[in-house]
Amino acid sequence: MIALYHVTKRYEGLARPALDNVTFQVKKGQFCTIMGPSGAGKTTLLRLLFADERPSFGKITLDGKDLVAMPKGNIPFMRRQVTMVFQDYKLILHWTTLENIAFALDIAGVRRKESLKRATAALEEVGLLHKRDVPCSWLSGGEQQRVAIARALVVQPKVMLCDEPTGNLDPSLAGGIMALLLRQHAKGVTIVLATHDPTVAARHDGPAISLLRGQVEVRE
Amino acid sequence: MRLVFRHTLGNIAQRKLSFMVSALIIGFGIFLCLAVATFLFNFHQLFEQTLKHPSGIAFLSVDSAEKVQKVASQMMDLPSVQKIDFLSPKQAASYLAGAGVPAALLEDPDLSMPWMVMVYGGFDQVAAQKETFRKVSSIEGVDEVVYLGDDVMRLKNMFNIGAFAAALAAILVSVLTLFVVSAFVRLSISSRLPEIEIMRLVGATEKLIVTPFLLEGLLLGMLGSAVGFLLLRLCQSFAVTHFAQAELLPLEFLLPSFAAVLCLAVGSAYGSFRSH
Repeated sequence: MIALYHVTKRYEGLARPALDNVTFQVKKGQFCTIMGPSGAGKTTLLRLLFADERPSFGKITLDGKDLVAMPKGNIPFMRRQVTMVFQDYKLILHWTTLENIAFALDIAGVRRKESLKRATAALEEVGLLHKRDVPCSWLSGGEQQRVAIARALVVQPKVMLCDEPTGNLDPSLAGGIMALLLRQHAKGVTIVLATHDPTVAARHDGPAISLLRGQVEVRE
Repeated sequence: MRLVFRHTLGNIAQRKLSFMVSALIIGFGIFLCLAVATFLFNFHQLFEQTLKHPSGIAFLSVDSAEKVQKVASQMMDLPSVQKIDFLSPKQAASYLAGAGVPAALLEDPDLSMPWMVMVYGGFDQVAAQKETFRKVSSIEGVDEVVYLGDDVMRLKNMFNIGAFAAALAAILVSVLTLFVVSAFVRLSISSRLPEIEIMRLVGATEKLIVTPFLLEGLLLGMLGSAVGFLLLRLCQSFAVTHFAQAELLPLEFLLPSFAAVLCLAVGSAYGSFRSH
């Protein structure tokens, strides 16, 4: 499903590449964890998979399609199948939770009535239906993270990329978020999760990839 | 498309005050430009009218009806002269009194009133008018000729100056529209940068992101044009009531002007988005 071949990413002005000759594959329906300390290149890797950045060298494919050669105009359509949960949530804070979630569907061209219905269902799934009409700025970090996950899953993606989804949360909330992601995985969504917490990888039996200084070590 | 409209209207609602102020500024600029153009349009119509129906007056030195007839036939032979009217000395005195010549002068016993000939021609050029009246003055029996030639030339020069001022006003309005729309859209973009980023991240196409800004520019241009046109109509009714008959600019002029304003507004919005 996802394959990286000898991917290197260099940023101008930095002596060491953020990613150095990274090669690995994630099969369809897998729950893959990318582990590593801060600065290891986890976020860079996810951004490459999200086509938010282009590698300096190497090839990345998604469902056999070359992401590096993908025309810019096709990237938005790709992002309706590959969604990302960001560490800083990326919510529009003055909008309600429902509006934030329905927005992803509106953009995908779903009719308003249908998008509100599906967004309500997604809110129910993440346990925030009672906060349907509450602006996101009023929510706690854990709740905002759940809204971000709801927005990512509401479009029924093939792949979900999660960047430290539990990084800012206390262990009990982190457990809830992980359970939520595992439920999505059980439904067949391929998940790539970046974390610095080794206990997260222990909560599932998918492949774990360790990144250290931009270099990869794969553990099946 | 509904999403685009919803976003556009939502954005405008968020900044309705700055939107209204921007539209009023553009509208006032358009009004000034159109007011100058309307004045010039009316001025030009009168000018054309003057050229098409000029009247010159020939004062004759002859005193018999036969000689007057002879002079008249020579005048009618001139190209461009369409019609002549004779005024006998008595009629001439009455005409000049009506034109504001002091009675004391007209009743002076030392000055005898001559025969007068009113000459009407179908001139469309100042030079043609001048030439015709030069020929009239060279006819034997014509003592003096008075016509509007030089005054018409002055009017034409004034019209040219006015046209130059109108062109400057049009340029100023264009710059003003560009500046105001650009400032509004930049403000709008600045306050919505996180939203734009999120739109990109959840799969919005470039078209979907940029269209609300273009619509904002378009709406600003439309509202500005409407304000400008409304002010113009109000001023026109005021002028008609209190000063003189004034015609509104024809649609053939107004529509391209508004289209130009809309193009400028949308272009400015697009430019601002691209450069931000």
